[in-house]
Amino acid sequence: MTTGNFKTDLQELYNTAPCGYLCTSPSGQIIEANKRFLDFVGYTSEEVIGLKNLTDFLTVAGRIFHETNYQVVLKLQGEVKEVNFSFVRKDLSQFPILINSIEVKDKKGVPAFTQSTIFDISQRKKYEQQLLDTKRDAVALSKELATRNELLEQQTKELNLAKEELENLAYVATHDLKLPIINIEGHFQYLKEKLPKENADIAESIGFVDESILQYKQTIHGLIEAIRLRESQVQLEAINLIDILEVIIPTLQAKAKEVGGVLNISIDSKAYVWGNGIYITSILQNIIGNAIKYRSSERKLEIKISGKELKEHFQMKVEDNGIGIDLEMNGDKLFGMFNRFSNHVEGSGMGLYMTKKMIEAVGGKIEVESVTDKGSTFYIYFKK
Amino acid sequence: MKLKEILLIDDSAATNTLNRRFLEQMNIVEKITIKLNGQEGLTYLTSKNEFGVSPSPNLIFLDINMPVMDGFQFLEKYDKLDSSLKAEILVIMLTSSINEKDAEKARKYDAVHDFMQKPLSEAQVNNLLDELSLLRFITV
Repeated sequence: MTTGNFKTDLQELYNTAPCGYLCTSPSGQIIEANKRFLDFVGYTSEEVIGLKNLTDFLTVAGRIFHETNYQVVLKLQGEVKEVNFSFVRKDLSQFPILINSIEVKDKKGVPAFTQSTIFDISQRKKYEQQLLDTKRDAVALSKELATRNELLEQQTKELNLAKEELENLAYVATHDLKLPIINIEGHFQYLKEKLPKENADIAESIGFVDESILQYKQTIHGLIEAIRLRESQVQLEAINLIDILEVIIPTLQAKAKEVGGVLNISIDSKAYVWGNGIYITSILQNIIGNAIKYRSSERKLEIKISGKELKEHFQMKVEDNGIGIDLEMNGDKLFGMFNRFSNHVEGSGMGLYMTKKMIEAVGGKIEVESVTDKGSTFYIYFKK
Repeated sequence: MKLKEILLIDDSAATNTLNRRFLEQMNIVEKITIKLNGQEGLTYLTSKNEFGVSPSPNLIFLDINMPVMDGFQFLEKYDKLDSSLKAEILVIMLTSSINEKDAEKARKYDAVHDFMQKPLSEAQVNNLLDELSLLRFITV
C-alpha cells in the first residue's frame, strides 16, 4: 500500500479507513468527508462537500437531539464522545452510527472546524437487540416459573389439607362404628340365650350373626391399624434378623407342629439390616403365619425360611408348599386392602396390605412367586 | 307365574341364606341354586345332566367381591360362553359396594341387565319379574 510518497499514502489511509471521517465548519457545513463516509451515506463527494450539513443525514428525532444535546456538549466541552444517531442514506434507508467529535480551535481560541469519526454499528445494534430479546425471554420465563411454583405450592397445601381431613374422617368414622357393634354384640349375646336353638334355621342365623360381628370387628380393627401406620413416624435402627427370629420362631414352630408341619430355617450368622424391630417382627410373623394358614390339606406342611446377603439388601425367603395363589388372576390385588383369595380361611384380609406398607416404611420391598396348588415363595428385601 | 330356577353367586353363606329365605318366602321360583364364587358359577352353568342339557336359570344374582374369581372376572368369562347357554338368562349384579366406578363398570357388560344394592327388596324383585315377563322369558 505504501508508495513511498507520504501525501499519497496519507490520502490512501484517509479514504480507506473503516470509519467515516467528517470535517465540518462551525456552522455545521461539511468541508471534508472521506470515501468511507460517502459510501456509508450513498452520496458522491460533489453532492456533499460544501453542500450538506451533518444534520442532513439525521432523522427528525436525531436533529432534535443534535440541537439539544450534541451541539451543547460540543460547545461546552469541546468534544463529544460516542453519540448514537440514526443516519439516513440517499435511498432513505437507515442505519445506526456512533459519532465522536472534537472542536479544533485556532490560535486565538476561536472554533475553526470540527473533526468527527463515524462508526457504523449496525452489527453491534443487532447483537444488542438479540441480547435484549434474550433477556426479555429469560425474564418472562422466570416469571412463568415463579407463577408455576406458586401454583404448585398452593396445590401441595391443598393436598396436604385434604389428606389430613381424610385421615381425620377415617379415624372418626372407625371410632364411631365401634360403638354400635359393641352394642349389637352385647345385646345379641342376651338374645341368643332366649332363642330356641333347636330350630335349625334359627341356629343357622345365629351362626351367621356371630360370624358377621366378628368380621365387622376385624375389619374396623384393620382399618384403624392402617390409619395409625400412615400417621406414625418410623424409628429406624440396626436390627439383627437372627434376634427377631429367635423370638418369634418358637411360637410359629409350635403352630406348625399342631397341624403336622415343619419349619426349616437357614440364615447366615450375620443378618444385620436397617429397619424397625416392631415392624420387622410383625412382617415376619405375618408372612410365616400365612404360610401356615394357607397350607394344603393334601400334603404335610413344609416351610423353608432362608436369608442371604445381596449387594444393597438382605433377602429373606419364605417358601411353602401350600395352596398357592393364582397370580395371573389375582396378582395385582394381592397386596390390596380387604382381599382374600380362597374360601376357607378366616381373617379380614388386611394382613398383606399392612405387611407391604410396613416393609415400605422401613425402605424395603416384597415380591411373590406362586403356583396354584404347589406353594408360594415370598421374597422380602430389607435395606442393609 | 313361577320362575324355573334362580342362581345365587356369592361367597357369603350368610347373604346366600338370607336371599334364599327371602325368595322362598316370595314363592316365585321352583329351584334356587347357590354357588360360592365365579368359578363355581361357571362350572355349574356349563355342566350337563344325563340328558346332555345344561342348567339354564332365569335369573342370576351375581356378587362382586368373591375370592378365586370375582364378579367382573366371571362376566369376562361368561361373555365368551356359547349364546345358547345364555339365551334366557338375566344377570343382576348385587352388591354392597357404594363405589360409582363399580356401577359404571357393570353397565359396560352386555350380559348385565341391572346393578342393585344389597339387600334384596320385594319391590326390586317384583320389578324384575315384570321385566322378565315383558321379555317373555318366563314359561308358565
